[in-house]
Amino acid sequence: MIASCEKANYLLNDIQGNNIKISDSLITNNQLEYLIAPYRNELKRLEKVIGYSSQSLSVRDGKLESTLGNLIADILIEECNPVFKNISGKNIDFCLLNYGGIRGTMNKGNITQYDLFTIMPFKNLATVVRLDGNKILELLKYLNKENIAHPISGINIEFENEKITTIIGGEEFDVNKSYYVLTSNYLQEGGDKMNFFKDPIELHELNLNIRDILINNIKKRKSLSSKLDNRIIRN
Amino acid sequence: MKRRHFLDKVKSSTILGLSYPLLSLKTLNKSFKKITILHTNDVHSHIDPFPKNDPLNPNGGGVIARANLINALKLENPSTLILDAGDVFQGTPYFNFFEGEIELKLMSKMGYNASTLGNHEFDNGIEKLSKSLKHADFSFLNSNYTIKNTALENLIKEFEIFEIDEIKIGVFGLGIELDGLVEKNLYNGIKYLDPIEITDEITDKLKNYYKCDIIICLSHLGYKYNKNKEIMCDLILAKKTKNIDLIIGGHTHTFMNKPIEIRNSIGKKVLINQVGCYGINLGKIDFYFSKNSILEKSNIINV
Repeated sequence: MIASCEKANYLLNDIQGNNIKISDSLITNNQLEYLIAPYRNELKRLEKVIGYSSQSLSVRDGKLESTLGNLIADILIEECNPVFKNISGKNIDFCLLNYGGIRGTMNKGNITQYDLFTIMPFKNLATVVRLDGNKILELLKYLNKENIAHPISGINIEFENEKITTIIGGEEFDVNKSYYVLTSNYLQEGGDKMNFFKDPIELHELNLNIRDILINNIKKRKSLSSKLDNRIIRN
Repeated sequence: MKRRHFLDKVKSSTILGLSYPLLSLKTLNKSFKKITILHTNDVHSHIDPFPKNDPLNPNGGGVIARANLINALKLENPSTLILDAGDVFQGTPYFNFFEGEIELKLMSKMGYNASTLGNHEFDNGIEKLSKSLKHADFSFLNSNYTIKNTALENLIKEFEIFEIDEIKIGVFGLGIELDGLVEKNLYNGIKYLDPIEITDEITDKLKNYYKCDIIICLSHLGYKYNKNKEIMCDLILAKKTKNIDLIIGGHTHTFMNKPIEIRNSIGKKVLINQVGCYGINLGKIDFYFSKNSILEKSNIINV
């Protein structure tokens, strides 16, 4: 660090800026390639194909829902419900994740473990909370205000300004009841300001990494597909 | 920095056996100066380019292409600083398996001069972050997180001053409120302080005590938040402070075609620039200086 206090006699005349696209270079850079190579080689084992997607799936292809978000939330309930039932004797009512937790796109064609790390890079664990009706109301108001495609499953929501119509497990939402909600440990601890998940009536850590759950499920399926099904709409 | 720069110049001119002509050329051009700032943000461990079949960015990004572009631009103007606005980490298996080591080694090789702490730098906790920082031979700057008595103490600088070709560039860093973004146990002991007050304090020092010619803020606050206009962001920072010339932003993954101009609290121009994410774009800002005769005269009177 420079500590001199002497003033340079230069005046700023003009500032010009432009942003330049970086695209795959034909020229290589041996020094950097040499540095990357051992790391890249170690990650090669993630490039094993684990499944196939019959379409490109993204978290950005809908307004309040997305094809990739729907698929991931559906898979999580499918995989976590038996585990949860085993430890609690109860069923998961619905699932809520966050839009920001799903990063990449799932391209059409072969799916590798590498892709799953890109789509879900975080160390998130599946967590089930039991919330009372008022907390569920908070959750619904949060989704109404957020107005982005936070992935959900097992719940149907219709917004009409401040009016919210909600069906959970085929029945109309009852504020006097409590519900079991599947989410991630990150969101349970208040991530993305989902504060309604803090201090639940019951907290069950399933100790399953969400990425691993997805990888194991994709391995079992012949191919993946998903669609927007109006599970959450705004009138 | 200055010394290394000087040595590079000496080396190249000696090798060519042209040390006298090169120096005299420099003297000739001395009344005009151009400082180039190259910058990235939210690269999120994207070391390899996007695949050919990626629907959004086919073949986009990649460190090799970035390094080649940086090298070409540095040849054009050696008076260049390379900066980053945080979230270097998290997004590809390179981070899951190597915890930031390769990202920081590559940035060091590419010649980065400084970066700042994004929220994802905390994804493995303070202890692991402090261990991975040893792979960076450039500074991480932050002035609004209280890091005293944490493992980060002494690893993060509040600001750094670079002197290139007689131009002093003061750079400082601001981070986003971690509460609600990062799990509490991953940033234990760190408190977020209001960026406005800190900025006024630091930029006053940089401008009036250290006499910096350019003041740059590396900000991971985010460009703006449409849903809640009250949340601290680069737009608010630019409007409510004075002395900053350029805010290099991050966090919101905002793709700008070129920097936006804002008027600060005393009506002076501030630029905000952000280049989206994943190392797809490189920001380039050129500062043009000329020798100021009026200032020179007033200096003579002072003597």
